[in-house]
Amino acid sequence: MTPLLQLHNIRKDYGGLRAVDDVSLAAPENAIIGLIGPNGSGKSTLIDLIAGAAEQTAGRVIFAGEDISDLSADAIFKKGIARGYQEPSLYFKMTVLDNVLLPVKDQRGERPWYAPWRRYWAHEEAGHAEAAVTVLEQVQLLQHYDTLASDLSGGQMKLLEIARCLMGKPKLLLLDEPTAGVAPKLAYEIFQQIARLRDDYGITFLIVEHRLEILFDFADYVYVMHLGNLLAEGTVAEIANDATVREVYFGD
Amino acid sequence: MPPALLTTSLVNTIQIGSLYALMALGITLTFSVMKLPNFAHAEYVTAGAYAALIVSLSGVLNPLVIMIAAFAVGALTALISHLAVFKPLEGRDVSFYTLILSSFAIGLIIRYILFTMADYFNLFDLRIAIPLQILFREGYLILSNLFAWVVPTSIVLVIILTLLLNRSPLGREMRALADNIILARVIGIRVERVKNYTWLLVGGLAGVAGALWGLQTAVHPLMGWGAIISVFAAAILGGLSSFSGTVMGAYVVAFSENTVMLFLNVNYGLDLAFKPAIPFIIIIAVLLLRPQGFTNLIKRAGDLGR
Repeated sequence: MTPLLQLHNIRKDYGGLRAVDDVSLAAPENAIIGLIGPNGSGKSTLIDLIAGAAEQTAGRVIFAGEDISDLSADAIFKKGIARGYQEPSLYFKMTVLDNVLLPVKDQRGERPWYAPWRRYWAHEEAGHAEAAVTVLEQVQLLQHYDTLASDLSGGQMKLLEIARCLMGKPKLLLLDEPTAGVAPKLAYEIFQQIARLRDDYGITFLIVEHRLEILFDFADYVYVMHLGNLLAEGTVAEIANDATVREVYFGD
Repeated sequence: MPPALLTTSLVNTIQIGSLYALMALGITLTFSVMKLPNFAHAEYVTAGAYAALIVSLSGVLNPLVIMIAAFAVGALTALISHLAVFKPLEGRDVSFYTLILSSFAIGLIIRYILFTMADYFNLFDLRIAIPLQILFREGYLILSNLFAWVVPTSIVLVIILTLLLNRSPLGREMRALADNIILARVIGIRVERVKNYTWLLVGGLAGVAGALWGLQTAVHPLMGWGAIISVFAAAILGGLSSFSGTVMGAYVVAFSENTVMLFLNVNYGLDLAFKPAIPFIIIIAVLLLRPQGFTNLIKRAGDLGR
């Protein structure tokens, strides 16, 4: 089976700086792929390139058999790639429910000639709200649906971001440090949710993560980056025992 | 101050204040959603007034039809100015100041198109032909049918707009754009479409304000421009983000221009010609002393739509 996502010889230069150098990787369907490496190794840049937030200098990105290298971020999102950020990027002045309802496409109530008349879109909105309730249940935030996003805990903000990504029914979710700034117990719970989403909904995850002790419990395959290069790849067991990885990453 | 003058000036305050509110909410919306202080807003008002005038001169005197025509023309004028000028400029990533200046330029262009048209068809200083009637008279308080049109229409539109911002999917997306437009793009909101819709609403409301205004004063190509500083003063009092603050600001400006001005005139002999200075004084005072205006007086009043 061809992998869901393939990167072929991706390179990214920022002026004279080569942030990503000739990286190729593949993510099969229905898997959690870890992307690790020391700070500044180009992991986040790679995520930006896949999501279309930045333009690669060279190389191709293939998603579900289709070349998406030159598509805009919006078009890539429509193809089924959603992403989360290191900093929680939510609408903090809005409720949890509003946050997940925002990305819904083609709502009748977003047309100004319908918007003032509730009866023309209330039915449709109820349908969207039902979908929102489902994704909020999936990440166990349903009881907070009417809370302002700014009043959530750090871990809940991460889960809300994931829930919002799920509204777009993505096939692939790119997550940049989903557990950054979250207590260890909650970080573990976030990964449990991620594993559940993989198992129950067949979603593929590409996750940049520093907390290896948690990632290694859940990842199906791991890529290691160092100074813009791909240093190693393999299963968790292979990576944990790789001598070069231990040297640059753990410093021993 | 004689009670007759006081009563009349208070009636004027309410009437003018309601119109200012309708216009200033448009300024607040464009500033929040588009990050643009749009001086061409004045011309959407004038365009709406002329649309209303022309419809009424053609013999249609149903106020509802007149309002709808004014809304349509105001909305189209706003959308065209966005599609023809603001959007291409934003695409070139120009500075904030370029956008402000371009809004002045668009305003000038529309204004003088209207001048040319008014000159050609001889449409200067005509009133929308709805006859004036006195509906209510009690002591010094005289309310005309114009008051009965202007005030409730403005208030109802302000309420509809507020509900739309807070309750509808369109409002949700407009608030999202106002808060963080980059994130809006990232999560797949159709930013350009929401912007177009916002322009239609903003222009439409300005057009209706123009029509209502044309009911009480003569329609002239400069009428919108003459009010723009007062309207901006109201929006600045609202911190350019709060709806409740903007509406309050509109009545404060109207009160200062009518009642306070008249009071100073009667008691201290201040010439009425100083009236245009009032909005400038308000703007300078607000920006110096309380740049956030009326926001944060109540909880979350700084959020768009509140």
